[in-house]
Amino acid sequence: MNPTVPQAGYTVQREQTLSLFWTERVNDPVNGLGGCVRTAARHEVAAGFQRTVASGVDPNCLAVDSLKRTVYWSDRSKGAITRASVDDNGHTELIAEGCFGHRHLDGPWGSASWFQWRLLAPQRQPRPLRGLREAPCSPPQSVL
Amino acid sequence: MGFSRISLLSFSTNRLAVDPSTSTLIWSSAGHGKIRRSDLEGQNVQTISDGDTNAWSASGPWGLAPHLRPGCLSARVPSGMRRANDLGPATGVGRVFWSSWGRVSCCELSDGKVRDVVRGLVDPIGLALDARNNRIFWSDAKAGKVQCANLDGSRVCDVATGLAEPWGIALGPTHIFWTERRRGAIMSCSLRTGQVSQMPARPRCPPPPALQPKSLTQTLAHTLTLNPKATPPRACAKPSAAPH
Repeated sequence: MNPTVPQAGYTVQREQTLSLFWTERVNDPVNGLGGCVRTAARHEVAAGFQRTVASGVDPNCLAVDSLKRTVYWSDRSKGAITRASVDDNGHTELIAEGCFGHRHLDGPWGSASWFQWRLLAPQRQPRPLRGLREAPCSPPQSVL
Repeated sequence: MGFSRISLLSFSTNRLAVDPSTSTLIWSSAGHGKIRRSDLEGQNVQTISDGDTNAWSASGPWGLAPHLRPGCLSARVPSGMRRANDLGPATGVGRVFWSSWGRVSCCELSDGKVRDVVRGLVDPIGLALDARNNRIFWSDAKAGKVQCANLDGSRVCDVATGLAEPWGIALGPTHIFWTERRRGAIMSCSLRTGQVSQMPARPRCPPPPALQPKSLTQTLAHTLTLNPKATPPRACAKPSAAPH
């Protein structure tokens, strides 16, 4: 990568290699849902090599700033935008939080419609948590 | 514009895009078509488009592809302006494309007008913009296709068909890349020859134990992007006309 002369206030760097970035989600039954952001150069992907930019995250969408060599992703569980430098292994930085709405509370239907839905469907009350004392009594089954 | 800081609820799908030439970070939220931007530090959050409020979907816009005017000072939304209408019709800040249920839509940021570029699709997800050739690519997960069209919506054609839930998509100088979420694979198609090939997804080096998948099918490479060749920002002589 050879940095070139900045033009018009921008630091322009020409990439010599084309890199691919992708996210992975791993549904591990022991550790739960985990995810990572990986990258590899074009020819390295074909050879099976890859490098982890960030791990232990829950990425949903990915975007790359090729000029500053920074990868951004939206974190599904935090509702945040996080970034990490491609060259800095493992260091992530949260830059925005609470910027993604919830489908019930941040839409054009809004909270009013959400409450309206609750009023129109009063029979759909949330189920109480089942504890040992609240376990429904099922009729005894005959044992043949 | 209030941004609800909800952390205890499950957040739905949201899209993210970076335009390095204008130092702009753009994202969409679930539940509505609002598209917001900030600088690369996450500051100066503004709504640049209300999207198509008539086409509300619970999952929000899926793919997001900004087509801003690089090198043009008016491409930066001034800090005091909050909405696209404040920018005036002649500033020419560019457009934003997104995919939603069965369609690919576009918002001209100068006037905030939203229109459908392509209709009649099944479930377009990923979106990639080829500004040089005025084309747009998208992945249709349920139809199992990767398709493309001109930026005005004409000449819709299939790039690859018979795919297993194509998801993220990215455009390179010679190839179009996408992920097949069901198979956990990265695919590519040569833009010159049209040959589709699969890139090996199983790493030669084992991943860390915390991320060790049980099998390859449990590894879902569901989003893909890449860094295109960085080009110096070009001077913007005058904003070009919006496609029709």
